Amino acid sequence: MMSYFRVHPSINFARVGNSEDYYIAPETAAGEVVDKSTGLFGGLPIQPGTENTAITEDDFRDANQAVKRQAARFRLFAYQEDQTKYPSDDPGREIKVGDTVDGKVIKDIIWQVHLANKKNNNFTITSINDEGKKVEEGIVAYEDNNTPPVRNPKSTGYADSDDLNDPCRRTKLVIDAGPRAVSVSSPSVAKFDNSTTPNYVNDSGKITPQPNYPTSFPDEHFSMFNPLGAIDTLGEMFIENNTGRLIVAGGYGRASAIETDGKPPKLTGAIDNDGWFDDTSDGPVCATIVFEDGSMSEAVHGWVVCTDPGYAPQTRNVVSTWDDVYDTWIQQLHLQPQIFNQGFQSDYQAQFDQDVLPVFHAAFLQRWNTNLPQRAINGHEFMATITPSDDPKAKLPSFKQLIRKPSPPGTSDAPDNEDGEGYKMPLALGDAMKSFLSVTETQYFLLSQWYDNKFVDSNAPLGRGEKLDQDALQNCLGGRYSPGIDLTFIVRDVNLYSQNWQSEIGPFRINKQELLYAKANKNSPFLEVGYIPLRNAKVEPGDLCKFMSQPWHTDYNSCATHTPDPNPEGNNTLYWSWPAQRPVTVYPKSECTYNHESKTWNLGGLLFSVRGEGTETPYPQQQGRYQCYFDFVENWHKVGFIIQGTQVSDEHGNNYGSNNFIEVSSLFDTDGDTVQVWPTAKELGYKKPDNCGP
Amino acid sequence: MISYQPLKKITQLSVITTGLLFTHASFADQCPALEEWFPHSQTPRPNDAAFSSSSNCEFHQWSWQMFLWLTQEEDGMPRFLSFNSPQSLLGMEHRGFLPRMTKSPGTESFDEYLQAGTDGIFVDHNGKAVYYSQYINSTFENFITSNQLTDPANVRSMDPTTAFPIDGTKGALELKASWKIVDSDDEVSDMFTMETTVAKLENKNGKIVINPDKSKSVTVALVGFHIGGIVEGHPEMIWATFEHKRNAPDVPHGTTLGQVVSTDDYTFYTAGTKLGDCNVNAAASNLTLNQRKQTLSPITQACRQYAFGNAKGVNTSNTESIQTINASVYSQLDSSSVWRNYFEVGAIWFLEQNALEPGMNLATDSFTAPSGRSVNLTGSLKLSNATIETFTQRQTTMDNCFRCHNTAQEFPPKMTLEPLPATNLNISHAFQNIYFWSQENQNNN
Repeated sequence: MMSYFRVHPSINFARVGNSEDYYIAPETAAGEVVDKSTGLFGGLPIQPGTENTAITEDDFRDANQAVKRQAARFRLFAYQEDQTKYPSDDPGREIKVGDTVDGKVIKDIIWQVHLANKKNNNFTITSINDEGKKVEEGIVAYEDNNTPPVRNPKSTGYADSDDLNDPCRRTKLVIDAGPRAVSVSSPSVAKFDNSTTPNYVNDSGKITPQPNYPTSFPDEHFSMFNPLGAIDTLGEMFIENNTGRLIVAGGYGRASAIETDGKPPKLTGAIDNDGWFDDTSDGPVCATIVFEDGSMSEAVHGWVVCTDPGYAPQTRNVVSTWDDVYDTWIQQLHLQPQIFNQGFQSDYQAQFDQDVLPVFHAAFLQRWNTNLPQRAINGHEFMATITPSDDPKAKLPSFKQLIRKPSPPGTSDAPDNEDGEGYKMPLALGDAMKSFLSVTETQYFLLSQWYDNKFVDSNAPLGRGEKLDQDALQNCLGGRYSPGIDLTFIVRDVNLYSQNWQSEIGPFRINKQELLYAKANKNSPFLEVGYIPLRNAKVEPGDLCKFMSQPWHTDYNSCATHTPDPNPEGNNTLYWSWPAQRPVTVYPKSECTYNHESKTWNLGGLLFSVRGEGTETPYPQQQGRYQCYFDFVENWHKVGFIIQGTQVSDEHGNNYGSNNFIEVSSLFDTDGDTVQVWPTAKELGYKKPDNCGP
Repeated sequence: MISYQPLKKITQLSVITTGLLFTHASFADQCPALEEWFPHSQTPRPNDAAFSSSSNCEFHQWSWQMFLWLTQEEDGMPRFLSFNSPQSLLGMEHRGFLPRMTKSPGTESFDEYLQAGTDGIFVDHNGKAVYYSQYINSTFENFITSNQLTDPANVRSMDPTTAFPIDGTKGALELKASWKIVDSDDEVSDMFTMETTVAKLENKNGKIVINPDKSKSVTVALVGFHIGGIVEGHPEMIWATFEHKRNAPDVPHGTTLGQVVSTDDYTFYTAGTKLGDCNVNAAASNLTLNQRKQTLSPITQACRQYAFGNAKGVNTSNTESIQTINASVYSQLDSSSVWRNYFEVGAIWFLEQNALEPGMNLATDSFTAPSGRSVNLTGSLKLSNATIETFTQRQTTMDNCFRCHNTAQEFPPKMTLEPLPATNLNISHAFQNIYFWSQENQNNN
């Protein structure tokens, strides 16, 4: 058969920073030991200009101490065999200009990306329940043809209609940079800004300017409050030197608001703030392969999402976005019928390395971002010592009493539901309508298979492209989509994906809307309402990030620790929202002490990751965050990063050690509140400051 | 070498009015201390086999009678000091108040300076760490020995429903005491004191640890006392706790973190301290040790979050039982007895008899056991000792004895050891420690 092409990763993640500089998104998975000689864990971003050199302590900030952006790197792979199963029999191969495929030499590769941010022309994350209360229901809010209320309703004055399809809403409330294209043969930097002309790849395989494309940025429509600078760009893209791969860098972490009578609206909500914009974005990544003979081929597209900074890139989420995506594909899209075929298959042999160990490593890594007591740290570290040769029942005498059994989203009242059993693992807050986090049903099944001695050490490896797909998603937050950090509950909706995966398309591809740029009209918004969960409308640029917090800053600040929602009767204990990806407490490098005898570094005291002026309070449920959301908008760039000690050089010619994951590059200059080990409790009497500013 | 001072005879006590103690004498009929317990020198040991679970009061009577019997002078010292430590079962050195250095934090043990569960260090107002010691009685010892449970393989092969026994009339007991180091200007005339040695603290590998090779002689004063004991129908043990009356103020109901708890000084509380500054566990964040002076900073301000171990309006009959028996004991103890200055904070047990099962996490007060049986905790549902569980009085996940004393499986404190399966005996942390220590001994041999 003719070869075909795919962009990998299928979904990749850029992250905002306030620097022009960047590093490359990780291409290894957090929690995966990537260098057994040094003990280096995966998940670290990559130094620009290198194939896979992990960043060090010195790479998080630029010379001006600004936070570097994380750029997403995309590669092009050629496949020769039809994909009928996952993993594919054909591992594929990365291709570049000059390579020969099916006897034809590749002359050029043209990459095209379209970034947009539709957060303000979308639905709120909270919906109104039957009792008139605001609740987070996740995807349940979209069932039975329902939706949550719209953001920026007419009543706010920011729109003339509550209809998302209203052209005025689609014009003013959507940030749309339009498409940009770059080619390997004549590389350039394409900016997703308001001052360059969009261009795209036409039917002839040529990069074509489209001056009629109706780009849209907030300052074109409103008088804006721009405390971090105007949102006049969503980033840029360019060709990586010598490889022909595409690098996409996103926004700068800005948040801006529509002024009314010269004033911005108050930034009071954790996740839905009408009138506010941020500069996150998402959109399709397309590649056109041009051969020497003049023929062309379109690759299966990828997708780029630009989101929050990665403050703890090596801490794996016990439930990652991958785990939710994989669970969806296993249970609903027949990805691996040997695992699930009208039910989980009890004779399936789980793979210890891929299915079991990542969960144990994730558990072990949580301690670096949280205030776990030593007894809990011991337990988590013990999990990470389990090997395939161990008797599972000797290592975990009571599996079912230790691991929380999952139940489907929105089924809190299901029989034998364990959502509210706080003593079980994972020890973190749950998804919408669930008190506590549970592993996915697929994870639980695979862990159970291991526990019943139905497992092998490892199985057929993924192809390189498949591994890139998996790694990117494994480095993102799953399980608790309230709304989350990178993506949200939409990853569990089969409508998000191209479902005919046993084809050239393959699994995990966003169900992209075809966009006919030649027909763009300057006076009419180009993008439609687009994807809505549980409907079959295809996915446009901006349709993924629109379900995230507006702006992202408020959600990040808020989601340190909370009581569960719903809160089990009588409970006051606080749990972590996103313990892997939103560090609550850290071991700063500056607090470490050197042991001259052993020539190793000792950890010092725990501090809050977000600390200092504006954060301090005796109320545990409010510690480790700014009391005023706007303070985080102004100070998000000060938050430090957690990195393995191997990446932190010391003055003794060595480093801080693979056993330590320490905070570096924090710009906070005070220690802040005393960190007490878990458990901590919610206390009555907290009053929010009344002088919070915007 | 440990030396004990004779029990001090107190002629006149200055009683601080806390609202806690020695009030409601008119309720004495509801839950009296029995005349046969007095004088203290003749308090009989409770008959654990005859326990009938007939009333809430019976549990508090058992608690007080046991406290009196354990503190009864025997050979010039309170009886409990003659009991062995858990590690003595393994032939490990009994070192008075020397905390073990060979064990990782996380396992409670004889003579510790770390509070269970949180690794908190309770710092008195002289900057000195409060120390802890544990004891077991002969029934406990004989049970472990006769069943050879110092061999971890026997623990793993044991019927997990095996419970601690009552040997004749004597149920298994495990005890924990808290001790404040007495400085020269401390007023301790109303506390039981004795001389002993404690290991010095030192800074090591970024942590504050004890050095068993460096000890010092000190006078210590008893400030808190736990009793966990088996009685007929209660394999989960009755868990009772006692404190010295001047330890800490009760937190008035509804107090917020910004409000002052009391205008009086206590041993571990400075008048005018706000609730937000009480019970702050600084150990993980900013606790520092002056190794030369053997002082820690910051000091701990202690407050008792729940008087008699219950929130206001909850189990009021339990509270009345405790108040009345406290008053009744006080009225019948010799006026010169130092033990008049200690009071029962509360006690907690299962409402249902013989309900203990392996795999109970006891995370909530009412729950369905693995067998499907409904089980309820009762008595003092938020029972903590302000000197032993200082830092976990409020958090619902750790706010009574059973939150940590349960029958769930337990991970080891060291990676080289095997976990403890879920068994009924896990209710005892002494048992848990013995299981892990015995593995370490095997590994070391």
